[in-house]
This record gives sequence, structure tokens and C-alpha cells, in this order.
Amino acid sequence: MSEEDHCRAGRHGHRHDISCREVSEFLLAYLDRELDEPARTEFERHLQLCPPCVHYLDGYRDTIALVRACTRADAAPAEPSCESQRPKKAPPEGLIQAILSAKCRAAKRDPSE
Amino acid sequence: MAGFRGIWALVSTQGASSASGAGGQSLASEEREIIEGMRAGDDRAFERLVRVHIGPLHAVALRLLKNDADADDIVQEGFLSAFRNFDSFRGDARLKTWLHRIVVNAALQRLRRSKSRAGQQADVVDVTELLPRFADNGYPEHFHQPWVQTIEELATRAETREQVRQMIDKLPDNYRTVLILRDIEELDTSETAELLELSPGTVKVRLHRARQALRNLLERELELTANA
Ligand SMILES: [Zn+2]
Repeated sequence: MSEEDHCRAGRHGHRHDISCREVSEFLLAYLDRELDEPARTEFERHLQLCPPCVHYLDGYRDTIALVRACTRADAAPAEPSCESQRPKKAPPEGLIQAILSAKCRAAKRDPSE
Repeated sequence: MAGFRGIWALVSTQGASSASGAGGQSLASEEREIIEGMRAGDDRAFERLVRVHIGPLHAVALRLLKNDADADDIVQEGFLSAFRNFDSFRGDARLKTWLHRIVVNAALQRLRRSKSRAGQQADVVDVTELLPRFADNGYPEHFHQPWVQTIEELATRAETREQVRQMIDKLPDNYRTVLILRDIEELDTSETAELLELSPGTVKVRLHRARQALRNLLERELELTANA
């Protein structure tokens, strides 16, 4: 979209009451539903008139989704339902054994446990 | 072990259960057995605790510390700490949540210490350069375009997933830790604020900037717009 197209949106009496800068600034508050009603209405009116801000918002949402999608596989919770997403890497048996023996040493040092 | 002082009060008041999650009955009964065994001083209960929870705990430690040896160390420290302080685990929280807080807190402390030792790392991006820029009249200097690939298309490629993880790693720690805790570990603002010893307002500002910076980094590095 050219700058001219962008500015045309503001021409028919629809003065942008908030600017693209403010849209960018208040994006998180908007998505978290923390804007009060008049501000939310302003925000949404701006989005109706300004495709670049909509693209910015979409990319911002997609970033969050992509972060989740790309980190899920190696951060699968221990629930069996997520078995298919578990890392292919074997459970760190060496680390497990190290923890178990460190715990035995700790328990001997402190027999109150 | 001074690093763990203070976390107990925090973890035992938080994360009150979303106990009816995936797994249902069997998960709940396994958890109950582990808790009862731990309280009775049963060695096998500790081993089960470790085996059930080590995977995700190691993953979050590694994500925060970006180093296998440090992650191993912190996970071990965390389980030992849990063993010594099991009295402070209250039944209204889930074990997973409780252990997660212990390990995240320990990893963050390690990160703070190593940063003050080593100074600023190489290969870290400047967040302010990645934020959108605006002219005085509030118009953007760059008109944003739609992305030409969907999240599904991007996330199915192993190479892309690795690139995304590397870009997250390039964010400065101040921003990276907030993004990890909020968007990956899915903690809420106040939990994140407490763990990072920040105000909720600061957490929100940093999360927003981290996402904005990452958004631009992804768009640029993955060539996500038509005329990129
Ligand atoms: Zn706009």
C-alpha cells in the first residue's frame, strides 16, 4: 500500500483520532482487553481505516503464535496426552542418576530428613 | 543455597491448581502417591518425582540459560532444594507448578550472576532498532505488509522452528526472560513480575517491546512479506 492510499483513509471526515504510533503503543493493552470502552472504540475505528496497522497487528499476533508453535516441541509437558510432542532426545538418564546420588549424599549429611 | 531463600513463600501461595488438566484421574493419583511418598521419606517417591518432571524443567532451564551444563546444574540444584524443603509444598498447588517456580527462580538468579560477571554478550540484537518508527505526525515510516506465509506453514519446517528459537535467543536477557515466561511458559503478568523482581508495568512494557522486536526480526529474517 502506498502512503497515498494510506492517507486517503483519513480524508472523508474520518480523522484518525489515534495515530498509527498510538496503535502500536497500545496494542498489548488492546489484545489484553485493558483499554477502556472509548479507547477501544477509537482503536477499532483506526483499524477499520488503516490496513497497515491491521497487518502490523496480525504480524504481532502471529509472532506470539509462532513462538509457541516453535518452542512447544521441546518443552512438552509431562502429560501422556502430549507424548507425540515429546522431544526425540532420550530422557537425561545421566542427569537423573546424578540427582539421585546427590540427594542420597544430602540425606546422609542431614539425617533429620 | 542462599539463592533459594524467599522463593518458598512465593511458590506456596501461587499456582493454586488447575488440577483437572490433561491426564485426569491417573495423573492426579500418581501425583498424590508421589506427595505421600515424599512426606514419608520414601526414596522411590523422590525418584518418581524426578523422572516425571525432569523433562519440562530441563527444557525451561535450558531455554533461560542457553547452556546445557548450566541447565543440568540448575535442575539438580532445584530437585535437591525441593527435597530439602518439601515441607513447604502445600497440597493446593500442583507439584509441576511448584517445581517450575523453583527451577525458573534458580535459573534467573544464575542468569543475573553470570551477566554481572561476563558483561553484555555478543550476538544480541538492539531492541530499540527493531521497534517500529514513526514520523512526527504519528504515521509509520514503514507501511506494514501482510505476511505471505501462515504460522502453520512456518511451524511445520524444522529449520524455521530452529531459526525462530535462535532469534528468541538473540533478544537481550531483560526482554528474553519476560518473553519466555509470558509467551512460552505462559505465566501471568504478576507471576512473571514476582519472579523477575519487576513491577507488573515493567513486565508489560518489556513484553510488548520484545514481541515488537521479534516481530520485525522474524519478518526480516524469514522474508515474510511479498517485497522483502
Ligand atoms: Zn494506522
